[in-house]
Formats: sequence, structure tokens, C-alpha cells
Amino acid sequence: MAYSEYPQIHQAGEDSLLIYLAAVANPQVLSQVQWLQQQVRQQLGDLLLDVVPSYNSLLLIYDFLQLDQSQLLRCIEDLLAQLAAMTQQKHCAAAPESGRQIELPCYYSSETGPDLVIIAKQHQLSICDLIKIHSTQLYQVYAIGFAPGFAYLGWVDPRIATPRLHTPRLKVPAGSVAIADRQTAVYPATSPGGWNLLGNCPVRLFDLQKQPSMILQTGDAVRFVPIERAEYLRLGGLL
Amino acid sequence: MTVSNQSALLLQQVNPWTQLQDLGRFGAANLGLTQGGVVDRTSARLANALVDNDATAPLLEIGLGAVQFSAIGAVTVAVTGALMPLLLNGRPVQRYQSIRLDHGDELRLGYSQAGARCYLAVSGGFAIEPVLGSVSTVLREGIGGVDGLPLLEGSQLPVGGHHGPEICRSVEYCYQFKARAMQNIPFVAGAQQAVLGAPNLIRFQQNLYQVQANSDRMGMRLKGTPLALEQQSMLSEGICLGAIQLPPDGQPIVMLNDHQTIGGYPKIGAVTRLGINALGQCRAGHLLRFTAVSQQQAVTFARLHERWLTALELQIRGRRS
Repeated sequence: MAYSEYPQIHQAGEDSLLIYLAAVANPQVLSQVQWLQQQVRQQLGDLLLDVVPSYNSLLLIYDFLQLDQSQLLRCIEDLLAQLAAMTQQKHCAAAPESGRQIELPCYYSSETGPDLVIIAKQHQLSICDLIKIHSTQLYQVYAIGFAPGFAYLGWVDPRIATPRLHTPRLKVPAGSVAIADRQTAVYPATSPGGWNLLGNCPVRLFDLQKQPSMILQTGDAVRFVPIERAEYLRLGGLL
Repeated sequence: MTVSNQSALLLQQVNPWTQLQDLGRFGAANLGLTQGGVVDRTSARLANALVDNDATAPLLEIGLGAVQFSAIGAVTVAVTGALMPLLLNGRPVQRYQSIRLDHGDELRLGYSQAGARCYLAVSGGFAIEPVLGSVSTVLREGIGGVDGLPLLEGSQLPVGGHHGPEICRSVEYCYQFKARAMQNIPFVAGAQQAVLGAPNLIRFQQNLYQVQANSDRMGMRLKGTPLALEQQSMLSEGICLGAIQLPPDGQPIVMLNDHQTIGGYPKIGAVTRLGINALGQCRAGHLLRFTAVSQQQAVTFARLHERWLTALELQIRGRRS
């Protein structure tokens, strides 16, 4: 077996550790990140101030006046040993919650996705094919950040991967479904943005009034379901 | 928004750097929400202690200065932090003490003469509904404070329950914030120090950095002799408070309280919480130097500081003048 230099535990700050589970991000690594997140939350509870999963890593911010770092390190090392054992037995796919699959409706059109036509032309595809390629792919939530509720979904089919706009738009409407390189996302709120817009998802992904306030979690699988204009409006979509 | 009989503070003149804050919003970074909260925690805690509030009570963080308030009903206030000339009905009064305002009294904070941020606490705290456990305003996210928006001149901030200490409380001059011409900022070396290389870690500590004018609560931008970085791509990862990012131009950015939660720039390490308190009082043009400390040293300093601050808070609450 090849020598593996992962996982790695690094100091991030006086009260935080960064754990890298692999050099790259793929669905298996993502489910390991997800599993580790759930385990440390369970074991440490309120001693953890924040946990930020992202692609191949997990950032832990803990109450360093209450919890000794050597104790935290022992807990993480135990968990990483368990994870290594599970991965060898290929049990990791059964990690709790990593099997969640969420379908998001999307109205693909030039009235909700001003870049739809240009992108189809750039890749020499019909608009129908572009929509089909974007909506048949099963994506995973690799990270949440940039703005509250902004989920980075990977990976977009290389046939439609498109770089960010040279000049970001000052105003991207909430719900806009967009792509940048091999990632896709739904803008949770109206904001500036440089991603290419294909359509709009009328379901609000992030709402502080609701519990839980976010539909998606890092590690979830997501598929877009194309809907017609009438259905879009019925679901509360705006034009 | 005000209930009759409830005291309030009328915002006669405010600036965009006048914000409702508390110790911060935790547990939602995985949803992309930053922690927010007061930048200089020590000054904020002393302000709350002076008016007999819990350390977590909502208060105002005031950057730059030149703001004015008037009392609606009786309100006890205290101002700590940066040296902003304080006037009560046009007459100078001391910072770092509890001040009883009667209905109609006007309190003015002039432009800061040293330091960057003042903390104004009111006895009982501001009665603002928390969002995800905190009232901390993060304008970029449109969350916290009053509807996630900048405070408006002419509006009122309701003051909660009790009316504060009957006697004047104060903090001795020797314990008050004092600006230094040059700050030495402690940091813990972090995950990408190996990638950035030992020479960069040394050069970073030898460099004299100047705080840039485009700094804000999200990040403090610094300028010094640029560090030489090799081009590299990184997967985005979680960012902690104080993280020292190095974008390709080799000029560091220290992540302050409203920092983004994930990012893909390499980081040389992270400034300690005590270092953040000091950075929070540095204005554009201020000179800084960084010194690496081990995590164990950082914990020792933090524990000592916490013991000192807790003792001081107790002393303030029990003090008679």
C-alpha cells in the first residue's frame, strides 16, 4: 500500500485546528468530512464554537479557555483511526446523513437566466441539451460560504463548464441558478455576482425565519428538476 | 419600537461604523454566517461592567467618532475604548465611568484622537431581538442589529430592564486603553506555513506593516515589503478569526470579525484574540509588527488576561466612588 500523508491535523489559530482528510475533493472524501463533523459535534458539544466543513477539510474552532488542545487532539486522532478502519472496510458510504438527496426545481429560461443562450452557443449545444446536461448531473454540496446559504455544488459536466464573467453583475436576483467553471450554485439572496446565470430556483434555500434555516448541508446530493414557467410562478418564482 | 415607560437612546448623529454588537454569533459558520461581534472585546466588556450588565449584553461599537445621542427617559451609560472626547450637554466628561443621563440629556463623542473604536454600553443593554443567538450587526449579510441595516439618524434604540448602578463606577486610568505608536501583534503560525516557507515566516516577522485605509471589519489590509509567493491553487477551506491571508501580491490581510467563512488564499497563521483586541484599535497609517507565539504560549497569555479582566470586572461592579 502506498504511503499516505493524509489525514493531517494543523494548527489554524490559537483556538482552531484544520483537519485535511485528502489532497483532493471527491464524494468519498466529502462523506468522510461529513462523518467527522457529526462525530466531533456529538463528542464535544458546546466546547466547539464553530465547525466549518469544506471540500477536503474541516475547521474546528473550540473554546480554548475550557478545553485543553491535547484532549481535543486525542479525540480527533481516535476518530481519524476509526475513520481509517471504516474506510478500509468500505463502510464509510453508510455514514449517517450523507445519503440525503434533494431535488430543486429550476425554471431554465432567458428571462430568469440571461446567460443561457450565450453559454449554449459557446459550447455549440442547443438550449435543450444544455438544460439536459445541467439537470441530469447529480451534484454534491462541497462547501457553504461566500454568503449565508451559498452552497458550492460540484461537479458540472465539462461539456458546459464556463469561466466566471469578466465583470461581475452588480445585482444577481435571489434564486438564480448559476455556473462557474465546474461548479454550480443557487444564489440564496440578491447580491453582486460573477457566475453565469442559467435559470431560477423558486424554493428559498436560506431563510432565518425557518428552522432549520438552510435546506442544504455540506455533503448532500442535489439534482435540478426543470420546470415550466407556470409551475415556476405557482411556486412563488419572480420574473 | 419604543414601549411607553421604556427608556431609549435617540440617535441624533451616527456614522456607518456605529453598530449594535455583542460578543458574536457562533455555531452558524457552517451556513456561511460570520461571527461578527465587537472587535476589541476587552474594552467592550469593561463598558458593560461599568453599567452592571452581563458581558454578553448588546452595546454600540462606534468607529471614527463624531456621533451624538440623547436620552429618552433616564439612562445610565459608559464609554470605553478609543480616545474620543466625550461631552455631556456640551461639557467634557470622563470616559471609563458610569454616567447617568436624564431625559433630554445629550451625549456627544468627538472624532477619535487615538484608537479606532469606542464602546457605548447602556444599563440593561439595548433591547434588540437576537438573530441566531446574537444581535451582532453584519451589514454584508444583512443580519443582526436593527433588521440587518445601518442605524438611522433620528431612530431610537430601546433600552432593556434595569436602570443600573445608583453610584458612579469607574476604571482606573492605568487599566484604560492607551494607544501605542507601534503595536506588536502576537500570532500562531498555521496550516500553510510549510507551503509559504520558513524564509517567508521570518520575513513576515521582520517586516514593519502599515494599516491601509481600505481596511474594515471584514479584514485589515496591511502593506510592507511584499513576501514572495509561489503561485498555487488551493481548495477553499474554513477561515478563523485573525487568519492572516496572503493573496498573490504578498501583502497580508488579517481577517477581522466580519470575515468570510471560507476562502482559498494561503494563510501564514492567525493573530490571537488578544492581538485582535489591539488590531481593533489601530487606524489607517498605524505601524505593526508580528511575533510568532506557540499555541501553548497563546493559551497561557489568554488565561492570564482572562483572570485579570474577570478580577477587574468584579472590582468595577463592587466599587464605590
